[in-house]
Amino acid sequence: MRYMINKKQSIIPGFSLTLGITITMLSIFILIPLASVLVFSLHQSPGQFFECISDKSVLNALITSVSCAFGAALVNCVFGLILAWVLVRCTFPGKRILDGLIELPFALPTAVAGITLSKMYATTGEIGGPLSKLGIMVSYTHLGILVAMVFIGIPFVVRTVQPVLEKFNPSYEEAAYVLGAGQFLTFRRVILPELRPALLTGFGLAFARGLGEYGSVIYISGNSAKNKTQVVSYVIMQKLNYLDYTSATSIALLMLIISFLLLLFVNAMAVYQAKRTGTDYEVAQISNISARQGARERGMIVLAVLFVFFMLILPLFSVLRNALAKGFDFYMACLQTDYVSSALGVTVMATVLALAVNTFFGLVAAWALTRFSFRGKQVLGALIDIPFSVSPVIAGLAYIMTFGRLGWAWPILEKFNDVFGTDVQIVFALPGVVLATIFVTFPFVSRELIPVLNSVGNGEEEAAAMMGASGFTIFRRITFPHIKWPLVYGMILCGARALGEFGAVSALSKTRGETFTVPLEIDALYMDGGADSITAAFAVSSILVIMAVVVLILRNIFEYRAKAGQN
Amino acid sequence: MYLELKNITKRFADTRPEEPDAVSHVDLGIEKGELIALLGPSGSGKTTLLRMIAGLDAPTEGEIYIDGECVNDLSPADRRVGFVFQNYALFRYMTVYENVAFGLDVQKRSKDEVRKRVGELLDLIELSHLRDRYPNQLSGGQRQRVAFARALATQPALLLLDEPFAAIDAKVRKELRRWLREMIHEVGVTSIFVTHDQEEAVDMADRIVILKDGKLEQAGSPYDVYKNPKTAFSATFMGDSVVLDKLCGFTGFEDITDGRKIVIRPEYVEAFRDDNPKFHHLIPYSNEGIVRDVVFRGDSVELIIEVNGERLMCRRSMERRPVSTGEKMRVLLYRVNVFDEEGAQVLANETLQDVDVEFM
Ligand SMILES: Nc1ncnc2c1ncn2[C@@H]1O[C@H](COP(=O)(O)OP(=O)(O)OP(=O)(O)O)[C@@H](O)[C@H]1O
Ligand SMILES: [Mg+2]
Repeated sequence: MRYMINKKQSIIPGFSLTLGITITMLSIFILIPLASVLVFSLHQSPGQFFECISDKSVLNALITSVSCAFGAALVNCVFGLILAWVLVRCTFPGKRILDGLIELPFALPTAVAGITLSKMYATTGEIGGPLSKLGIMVSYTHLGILVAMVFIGIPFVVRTVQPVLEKFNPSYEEAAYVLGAGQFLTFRRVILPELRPALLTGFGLAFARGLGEYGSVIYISGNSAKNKTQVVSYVIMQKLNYLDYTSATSIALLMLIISFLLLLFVNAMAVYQAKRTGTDYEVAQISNISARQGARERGMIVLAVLFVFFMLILPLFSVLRNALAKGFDFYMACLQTDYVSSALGVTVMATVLALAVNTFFGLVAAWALTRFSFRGKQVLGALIDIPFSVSPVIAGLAYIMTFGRLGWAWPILEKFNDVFGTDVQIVFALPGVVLATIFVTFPFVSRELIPVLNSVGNGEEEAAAMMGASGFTIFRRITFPHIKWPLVYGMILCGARALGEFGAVSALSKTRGETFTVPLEIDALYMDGGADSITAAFAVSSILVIMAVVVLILRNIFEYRAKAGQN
Repeated sequence: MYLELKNITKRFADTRPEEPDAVSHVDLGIEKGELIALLGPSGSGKTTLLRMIAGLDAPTEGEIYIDGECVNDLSPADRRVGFVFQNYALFRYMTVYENVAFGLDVQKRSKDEVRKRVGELLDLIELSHLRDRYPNQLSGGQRQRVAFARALATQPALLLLDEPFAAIDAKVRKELRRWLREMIHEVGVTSIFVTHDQEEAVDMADRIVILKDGKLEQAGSPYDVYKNPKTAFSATFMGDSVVLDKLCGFTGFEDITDGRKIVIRPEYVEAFRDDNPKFHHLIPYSNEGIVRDVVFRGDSVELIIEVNGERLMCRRSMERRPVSTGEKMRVLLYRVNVFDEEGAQVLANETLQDVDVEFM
C-alpha cells in the first residue's frame, strides 16, 4: 500500500472526508441561506439600506433590543457567577436538582416560556399581582423584556463559568490567603481575573441570545410601537408578514453583522482563555476543594435558590396551574383536537430529521475539528456556532430569501418541478419547517463533543493508527467510548430545542393544521385571546413542559455518567 | 546499518522564517540490536526526530532506511515500528489485556494466537494478574510496562520510546530504567529512546546521540562522549563542568583569549592545602585560590574555588580534612578541553609532563 503523510496533517485517517462533509453541510444549511440574505440586501443602494435602518420603529426596536439584552446579560453575569460558585464550591441538599434546572431555558420551548412569563408577570399573575400593588409593572414594559431575556440567558453564563471554576486550582487561592489577603481581596485579585474570560464569554453569548430572542419575549413585551416595547426580531417578523422583504433583509443584515462581531469576541475570549490556562488537566483532578460553609456561603446559597425558584421553578408550576384552570376534562379535550395532533406529527417529524442530520454532522465535524490541525480551524469553529447567535427569525428569513419566490433557488426549484412533474415546495411547507429546525439546532451535538475530544487529546487515536487500525475501527473502538455519554446528552438537548423551535419555524409556516408545529399551535391558541383558548394554550404547553422536565432529568443522568466515565 | 537516517530535515509549516528547523540535516546509522539514547535539551527536536522515524510525521527533506529499504512512503504500521508515547496513550476504555491485544486484533490474527502472544507478554511484564484492570487503575510504572508490552505485541523490528520515564517519580524511575534495559536486551529489539536526562542516557544506552537546536552534536558510546566531547555543548551536557571564555595566568597553560571556549570538568581540578605533604612537590605547578562555597553532595564535597578571577569546581573525598568557605587553597589544573568552530582539543598541564603524577 502506498502511503503519503501530508506534511500538515496527522496519520489519523479521515481528514479530507470529514472536513469535506463538515464544510459541505455547513454551507448547505447555514452559510448559503445566510449569504442569500446578504445578496438580496446588496440589491439596494446604501442609501436605501440606511433609510430602512433609520426608520423610527426600527431604530426604537434596535435601542430596545440592545439595551434590554445588555442589561439582562449584566444581571445574568451577577447571578450566573453566584450560581456557578454555589454549584462548584458549596454542598447543600438539592444541589443536583438546582444544577439540573439550569438548563431549563434551553429545554423549555421559547413560546411556552413566553406565554408563561407574560401571564405570571401580568397584573393578575402570581408575581405581577403583588408587584403591581407596589406600583411596579412588568408585563408589557421594558422590565418584562428584561425578565424574559434574563430567563433565556442564564444558562450561558453558568455553563461557561462553572467548568473554569471547577478547574481552578485552589492552591492559587490558598497562596493568597497565606499571604494575608482577605476573602474579598482574594476574590477580586486572584479569582476574578481567572474567571474574567469565561464571564465575558458568557456575557457575550447571553447578550447575543437576548438580541435575537423572539419567542419568549414577544408575549411579555406587548409589542407596542408607542411604548417602544418592540424588539428587533418582532420587527423583522412584522416586515415579513407585510412582505416587505427589503426592510426585513436590511435589518437582518445589520443584526447578522452584530452577531458576527459578538461571535468573534466570544471566540477570541475562548482562545485567550485556552492560552492562559493551558490544558492542565492534572490540576483539574486535584481541585476537590473542601467546601467552606461560612455565613457568606449560606447567603449565596439562599440567593441562588431564590433566583432559581422565581426564575425557573415558578414558571413550571404556573404552566400546570393555568393548564388545569378549567378542570381535567377540559384539559384532556384541549389535547385531542385535530390541530394538536397534526402539530404533534409535524413536530415529531421535524425533530427526528433534525436530530439525525445534526448528530451525523456533530460526529463528523467534531472529528475534523479535534483530530487535525489545519489553517482556518478557528474560523470554521466559529461558523458552526453561528446559529447560536443568530435570531431564529433571521434563520427563517434566510430560507425564504433562498427558496422563496424572490430567492435565487426559486427558478431551480421551478425547473425541477417542471421536469419531474412534481410540486415540491420548501418555504411555507414541511421541508421549510424541517430546514429551519435543522438550522437552529445545527451546532448542538458538535458543541458537546468538541470539548470532550479536545480534552482527551488524540494520542490514543495516533497509537491505534500506528498499529494499522482503519479509520472506522479507530472510531468504533477508541473514540466512541469517550464520547458516548456526551453524544447522548448533546442529542437530548438538540431534540429538546428542535421540539420547541418557534421563531424560525414561525417565519416559514403559515397553515394551521398542516405545517404548524406544537409551539405554533400554542401561539395560535394564545393569540386567539379568549379565556378558553388561553387555557388550551397552556394545556398544550404542558406537554412540552413535561418533555422538557424529562429531558432535564435524562440530561442530568447522562452528564453524571459522562463525568463518572472520565475518572 | 539497520536504521539509517540520511540528511533528515523537518521544518513545520507554521515556523516563522527567522526560526531554525525543528530538525536539521541529521545523518545517523544504527546497528541491529542497539539501544540508543536521543539526548538533548527541551525543544532540541528529539520528539520530532522520533516521530519521523515512526512515520507519524513526514520529513521535509531526507530519507529513512530500515533494513536497507527506504520507508519514507510507508505507513507506521508497515514500517514495523513499535512506539511508546510520552504519556503512554493507553486506550482508556480498554483493559490491560485489550490494550496489548489491540495491534494483533487489527492484524486479524487468530484468537488463539492473540491469546497466546498477549499471555506471553503479560508474563514478561509480570502483570498477568492485572489483565482485566483499566489503565486508570494502574500505577505509573505499571502503565509504562503495559505501554511497552502493547508496543512489542506485533513484534516490531524497531522500538521507539518518547521519554519513557517522564511521567514516573524519581524513585521508581531508577528501578524501571534497569528493568526496561533488561527487557529490551532480552527481547533483542533495536530501540531508540528519548530523554533529556544525561544520567538516564548513560545508565541505559549502548550509544548516545546528542541533539541541539535540531542538529546532531555528537553520537557515540557514553564513555566516548564523556571522554572525548566533540563540542563544548556535548562537554557541558555530559557531566558537571565549568565553561570559561578565557584562560589567563594558570600555571602550565598558555593564555587563551581568542574567544575559544574552555571546559573544565571537576576531575581535572585538584585542590589541596599547602601543608599537605602528599602534594608538597606539586606546589610550584599550582595557583592560589580562595574557597567560595562548600556543598555537600552525599558521597563527596563539592568545592567552588576562585582562581585568577574564575570560579572552578572540584570534588573532594569525605575522607579528607574538612574545608571551609574563605580558606586559601592551592589549585592544580591537570588539563582542560578547548573548543572552537573546527572541533575539540585537550590541553594538558605542560609543566606536569616531567613530574610523576597519577591522573585521576
Ligand atoms: N507540530 C508542531 N508544529 C510546529 N512546531 C513544532 C511542532 N512540534 C514541535 N515543534 C517545534 O519543533 C522544535 C522541536 O520540538 P520537539 O518536540 O521535537 O522537541 P523535544 O526535543 O522533544 O523537546 P522536549 O524535551 O521538551 O520534549 C520546537 O522548537 C518545537 O516548538
Ligand atoms: Mg519531546
